Formats: sequence, C-alpha cells, structure tokens
Amino acid sequence: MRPLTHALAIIAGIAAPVAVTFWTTSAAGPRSKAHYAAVEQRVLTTREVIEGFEKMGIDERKPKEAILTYFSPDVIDHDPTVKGDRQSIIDYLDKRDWSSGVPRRTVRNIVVEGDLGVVHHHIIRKPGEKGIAAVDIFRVKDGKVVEHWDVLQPIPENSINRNGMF
Amino acid sequence: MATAAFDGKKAGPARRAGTFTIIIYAAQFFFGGWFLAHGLNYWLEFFPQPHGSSPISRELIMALIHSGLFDIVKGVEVLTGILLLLDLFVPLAIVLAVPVALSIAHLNMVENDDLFSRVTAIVIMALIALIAIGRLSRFLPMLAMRVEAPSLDGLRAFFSRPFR
Repeated sequence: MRPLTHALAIIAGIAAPVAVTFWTTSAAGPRSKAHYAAVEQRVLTTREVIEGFEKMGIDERKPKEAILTYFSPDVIDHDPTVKGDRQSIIDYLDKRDWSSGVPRRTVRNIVVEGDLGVVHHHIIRKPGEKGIAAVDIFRVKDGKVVEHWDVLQPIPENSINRNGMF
Repeated sequence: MATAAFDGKKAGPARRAGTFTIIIYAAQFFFGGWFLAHGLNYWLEFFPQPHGSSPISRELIMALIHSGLFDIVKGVEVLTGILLLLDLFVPLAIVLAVPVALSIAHLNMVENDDLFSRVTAIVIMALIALIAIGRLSRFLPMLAMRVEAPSLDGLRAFFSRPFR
C-alpha cells in the first residue's frame, strides 16, 4: 500500500468508528445517557429502589418524580385509597400539600428479602397529629416497584402501652 | 503487500481481486480504528463510557474492572488496533482480537436485548471474519490434523529470523 493511501486509510479507519460512536452516544443515538440511566436503574437492588423512592418522594418532596422514576408503569397498588394504577398514586399524592413540612416520615426499620422490601415507619400527615405507624411493602423487579401494599395504624392519643408504638 | 489493482495499475480479472482486497482492508482499518478508539477510551474517556447495556453485561464488566482483567482486555484492544491500522502482524492481531471480539459479540447478542446490540454483534464478528478470510493462508497450517512430533525447530527458526 502506498504511504499516502495507508495514511488516509488510518485516518478513515479511526474517524469512521469514532463518528459512529459519537452518534450512538448522542441524545438521539441508541446508547444515549437516557439509555444508560435506564440500565443503571435496572441493576438497582430492592433496597436501593426503596431507599431511592423514599428519599426522592418524601425527603426531597418530589412524589411525582419519585413515582415516575421508581414505580413501574404497570405497578399494582393495593392501597384502598387509590384506584390501583400508577397514575392514581400520582393523583393521590399530588392532592397533598407538600409545602407545610408534612407529610413527615421517620423510618424505623427496612427489611429486604429478595424482591420484597418492607419499610416500617412513622408518618405524620398533618401538623400536630401523633401520626401513623405504617408498614409499606414493595415488590421490586428490574429496578422498579411492581407491586405495593400498605398497612396503616393511627397512633392513639391515649394508650395503655408504656413502650409506645416504636 | 497490496495488489496491483489496489494500486490502480490493472483492470479486468485482477479488478475482482482488487475489490476483495479493498473490502478486506476497509474491514481491517475500521476494526482497527474501532478497537484503538474504544481501547484508549477506557483510560482517556473521549466519549461516555458506561458499564454495559444490560444488568448482566454490567455485572460482567464491573467484575472485569474490579479484578483488573479489564485493563488487559483494553490493552489487547489498543495493541490489536494499532497493529491492524499499521498493517503489521495482522494474523497475530486477528488471533489476539478474536477472544475480545467474541466476548463483545456474545454480550451484545445474548445478554443485551435491543436491535442495536444485535447489529453490533453481527458487525464485529463479520469484520473479524472478513479480516481473517483475507489472511486465511496464514491460518491454514493450523488446520493440519496430524503434525510432526514436538521439536525445537520452531524455536530455532523464531530466533534466527523472528520477524520476517
């Protein structure tokens, strides 16, 4: 091969795959940041999904984003106060006033076994109330919550139990 | 190294050989540039470098990184890329590149579940196959079913004329 031809072949040989790579990793390409973000989420553990949801949804007060990020579009919710699909969960949380410092939540225990995660926490939905002893159960698959149950027990004003609910 | 047709000197029947040679060279230089760029990208990060396009490929790549094997894989990519681009030790470069190419193809074809990954797997195996077919005469001696008894002849030949 002539030296000039060889030099041009080297340049083209490097430029062509690099150009392809820049296209594939661009926003419009099949290996965009969004693609890899989705992959990153699919490898999250059950605990990481639950903790990520709780952090974004409650601590950062972004419930809608948290649901969209961590709940599967086909999630099944057994909470009797919602219809049971993802949009109904978003609608339910959107009705709440998130600006007044409540709901406030203190996690007491998180137990994870395989694809199931259980969060035992204390939720205060209105200022001044004693709140609720809550247990949320999540089933997680491919980095998304696919099923959710909750069990809620209001904390009574007066109780004979000296230990308290937590 | 190149045929006369590749140098633009002959027409007619020789043109078919020239076309074949050009196709093989195109595959070789594209593959070489691909491996060199992606090998160097591991250390220099010209473009985003995510760890796999599926949970399993990510697990494998992370295990390779944590064990230090990924440095060797990327080193092989850089070395073979340079050799193919410089058109030096091409048969050796092919032998070095096959395990890496096979691993990339397997991850893309079996573990990832999108069309782009499958195309990538097919392209990388097609390229390495083309390059190898172009230098098949160098590999034919390996296809001998029965060979002579082990001896020092090869070692002597290597040290007497190592790089012909």
